[in-house]
Amino acid sequence: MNMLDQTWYPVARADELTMRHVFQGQLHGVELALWRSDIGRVNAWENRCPHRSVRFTLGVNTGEKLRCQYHGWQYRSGDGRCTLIPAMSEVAPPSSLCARTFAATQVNGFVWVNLAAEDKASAEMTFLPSFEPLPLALRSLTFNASLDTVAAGLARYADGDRDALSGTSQVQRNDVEINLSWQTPSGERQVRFWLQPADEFKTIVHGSANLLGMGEPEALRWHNGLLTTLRRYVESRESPLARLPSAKPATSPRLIPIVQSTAQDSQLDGRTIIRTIVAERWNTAEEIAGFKLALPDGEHLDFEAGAHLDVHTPNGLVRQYSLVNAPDERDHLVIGVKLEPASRGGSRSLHESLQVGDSLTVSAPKNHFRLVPDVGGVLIAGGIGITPILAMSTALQHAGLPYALHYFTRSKEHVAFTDRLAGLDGLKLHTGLAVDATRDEVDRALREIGSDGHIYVCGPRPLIDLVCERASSIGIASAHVHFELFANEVSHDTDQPFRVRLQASGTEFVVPAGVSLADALKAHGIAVDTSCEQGVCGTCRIAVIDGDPEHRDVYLNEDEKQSRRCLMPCVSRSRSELLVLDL
Amino acid sequence: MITLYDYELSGNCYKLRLFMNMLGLDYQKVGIEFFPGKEHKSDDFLALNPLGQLPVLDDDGFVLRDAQAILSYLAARYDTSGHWYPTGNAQSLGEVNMWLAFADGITGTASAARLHDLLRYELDADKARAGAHLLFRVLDEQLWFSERENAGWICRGDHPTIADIACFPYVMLSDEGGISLIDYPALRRWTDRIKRLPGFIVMSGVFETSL
Amino acid sequence: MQIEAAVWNEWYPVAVVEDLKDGFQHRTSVLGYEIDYGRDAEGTFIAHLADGSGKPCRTQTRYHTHWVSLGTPDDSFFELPEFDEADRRILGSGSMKVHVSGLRVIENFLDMAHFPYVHTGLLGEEPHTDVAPYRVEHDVKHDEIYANGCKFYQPMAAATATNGIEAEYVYRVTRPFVSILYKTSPPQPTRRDAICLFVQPLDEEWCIAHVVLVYIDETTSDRDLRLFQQNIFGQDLMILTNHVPRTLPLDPKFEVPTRADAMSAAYRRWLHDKGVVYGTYRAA
Repeated sequence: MNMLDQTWYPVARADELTMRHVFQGQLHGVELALWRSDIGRVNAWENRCPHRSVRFTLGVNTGEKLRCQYHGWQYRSGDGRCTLIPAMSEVAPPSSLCARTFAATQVNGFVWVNLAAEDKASAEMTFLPSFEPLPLALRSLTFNASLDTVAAGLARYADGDRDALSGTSQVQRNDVEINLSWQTPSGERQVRFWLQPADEFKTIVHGSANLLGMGEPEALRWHNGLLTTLRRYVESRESPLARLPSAKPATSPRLIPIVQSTAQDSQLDGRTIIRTIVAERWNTAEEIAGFKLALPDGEHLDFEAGAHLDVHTPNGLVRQYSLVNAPDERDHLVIGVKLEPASRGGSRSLHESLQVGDSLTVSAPKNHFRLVPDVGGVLIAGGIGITPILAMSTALQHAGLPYALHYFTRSKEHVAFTDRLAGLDGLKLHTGLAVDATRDEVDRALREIGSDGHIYVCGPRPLIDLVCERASSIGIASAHVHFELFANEVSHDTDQPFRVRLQASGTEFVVPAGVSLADALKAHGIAVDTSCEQGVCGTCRIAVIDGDPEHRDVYLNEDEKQSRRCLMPCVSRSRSELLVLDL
Repeated sequence: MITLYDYELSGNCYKLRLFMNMLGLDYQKVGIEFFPGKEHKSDDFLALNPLGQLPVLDDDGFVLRDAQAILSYLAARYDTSGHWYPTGNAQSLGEVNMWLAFADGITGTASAARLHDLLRYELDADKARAGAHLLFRVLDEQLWFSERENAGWICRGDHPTIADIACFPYVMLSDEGGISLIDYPALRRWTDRIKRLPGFIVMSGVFETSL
Repeated sequence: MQIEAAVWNEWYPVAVVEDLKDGFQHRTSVLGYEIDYGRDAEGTFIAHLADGSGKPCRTQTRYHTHWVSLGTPDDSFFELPEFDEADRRILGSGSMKVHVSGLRVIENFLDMAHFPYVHTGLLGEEPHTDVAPYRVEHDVKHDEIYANGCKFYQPMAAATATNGIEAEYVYRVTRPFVSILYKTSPPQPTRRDAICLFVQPLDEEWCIAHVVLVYIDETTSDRDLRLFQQNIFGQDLMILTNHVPRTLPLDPKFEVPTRADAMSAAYRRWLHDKGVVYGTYRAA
């Protein structure tokens, strides 16, 4: 049996993943922590926290996150990213810190997992066995025997029915699916089993049956009795492949190393830097410039509506801008930049200096403003806040989910991206409204929302406050109101930029303030292995030929630090203007 | 005043600490150094319980040993609702007692394996673990049907009984005896249910769940 | 398996002095080898291999503990001067077996970040979860590592505590399987109490944690000191039993540390630099 064969297996009945529970499962020797978030998303993770490998099943499902019992680290539903490390509660966890997730889906009352699907998006499209359960969902039963032994045993299932007419039993096996039928005086009994290979010596039998002359409770007990009896027979056979429940498990759990992203991966995350080229620029509205940024050759990014980038402005600052992209636009980036007069000039330098053909360094997309999956919503944008909202509305329209977009601007001239707005059916434009009128429109918009719906708002602080307050006053749960505030101040710029020279090639570049040396190296195509990204673990260590490193790690000992011959690029920088690296 | 002769790491003593907290009963604890001092085999303690076992409860001079017996006493004496130990209904009472005896079987298997693994007691640990697995299969089946037909407690009815309290600790600590609960999903869901009961408290090795 | 010198030529605890009675023999394992040990009728501690050869092991009794070695350790034994102070309470708190590599038990002992989640209400509680930066130092002369200047808010730091305090800790690792924690002594705040963790590796995935307390305390009974310590250890036990793998990975990409884990990262690096392999995770 191939370790990670490309197959979907049932791992639990859907109703076994109860509210705020963490289900312990197993497939091909890999232990799984299966849990459902409060909004219904199913997660299948390797049962091991990446911090110190303690089982996730000891931890707690908070409804949105899985919290590891050992140190309270929290991992979010969906992509499994770590979102909180209580021992360092003020610092964002490294983006590489992630539970090992597997593709999981819920179909026809069962949870299915595919261990081999690295890329969940493509996994969704991989062929799922087409199966129809019969009307009655049976209690799943664990057999301490190999899959083939269990399959052979199940062929005799009908023997347990005293009413079975002899010679009428039919068995059909299709890999892990087994179909049985036999005749009784009251009619035909049918049972359909799916086998889950938990490990080499353990198989879980999931089944369904037709109801024939029995009520559901009685039928469940009857089938459970048959299967339990059959299990006694299968497990007690003199067979090297069958085992009784005993002290030690036959095999220790199989471990899959938590995959860390390296420079070689094309999987870019929020800490990686990308050099784009300005392909187009235009005035999309009064004071708002649109930029279309081309990605390096053949690059293609994965992000969701609501994402934003860090943009390194021509005058050396770093500013955040949301992506306007529609769901099918992933080979270039579109942003809208508003000219902010009362700021340090980041937006001004973009407006005044950035021309078509220039290169612009940006981070890979990050997202703190995601759409809740599978539900519609009311979206409210004020001014430049339209940028993420436009992407999100487009995504909802593409997904066929109900939405209404309310876009408030000062005047018609301030309406941005009119060509994209023209394609949106759910758009309601409000221009030139005074405060009272705005509040009335917001009230009207909020009242249209269904009980499941969510509200997304982006724009100036007063608009966000207004929407939150009005939503609360009509009883909408705060967990259903999502907002993103554009702060004009940036995170700290206290770092000094410095120059780096790579000895082998002679290449020189600047590491700007706010960008780590490791990320800058990766952006210039140098493979740097990173892990903790906090200067603790020693993975990223590189050799220094000349210059004065500014050590910010806790890994190197005093001698190593004073030798100035090495440093940890994930956190450390340079005191000298130039740092020459042995790379 | 109720006095509990207690050892923190004992699952049997925890049954009473847990139940008394759920009933809101005041009591005082006398710590007995089960390990390494073997104080439960000291002359003083044997005078209290000639079997040399914990827990022992003393309620104003009325002394009882055996966790299950003590649970039934506390419930009959102090539980005004009558839910925890339904003495008024013969069938329900019989059912609870059947599962109290089952809990004793869990002590003899899962707890024995834990004593072997943790405190190096000399006994056949493999046999103890195999025995625990057979019991857990039975309990998992009971709970799976109870989730459908009743409220998901061990016995019939909408309310947990002392049978649930009696079975809980050594199920919850079974990992420490090398017994995984991975094959018993209904059992695992039941432990969440117990943890959410008002008045639930932990012991070393047991953690709270989300509400 | 061939066990590396750094682990083979070491002393390992098999019993705390008060847990043995003169004239009785016991069986245990060290590094996968079965040995018989005990004190004879005169009180001399002896041990030998239980493989039929009867070959004697080197023995030593020090720090309230009986130690054996299967190899040829040098004469240096780490210094614990607190044991010589006349007013100290010295007692074992109960040696417990755990199904995990002894190296993981040491690492758990060095960690504060788990206090609010595993020792809730005693050694830590929310929202006081942040671990303030501390200093990791390498005593090169003795090849020992220290975490100095550790601070953590503790609601009930000891059996005698009546309110929460900001506890001050120093952690010290003297050997791969030996660590000592020093904390401010409540009755005499200029001195420190010590909790010694002497780990006996039975094999790569099982160990016995022998805990010896070296306290300044005139009021608390032995029993109460032990019960408090066992309570703490019992809370760690469920976590320790649930590591997958049970052995300690030294590859920093297999398990990801944070700044709060500086001491445990230093411990893993120190093990790696010493060439320790026994009890560590090696992928198949």
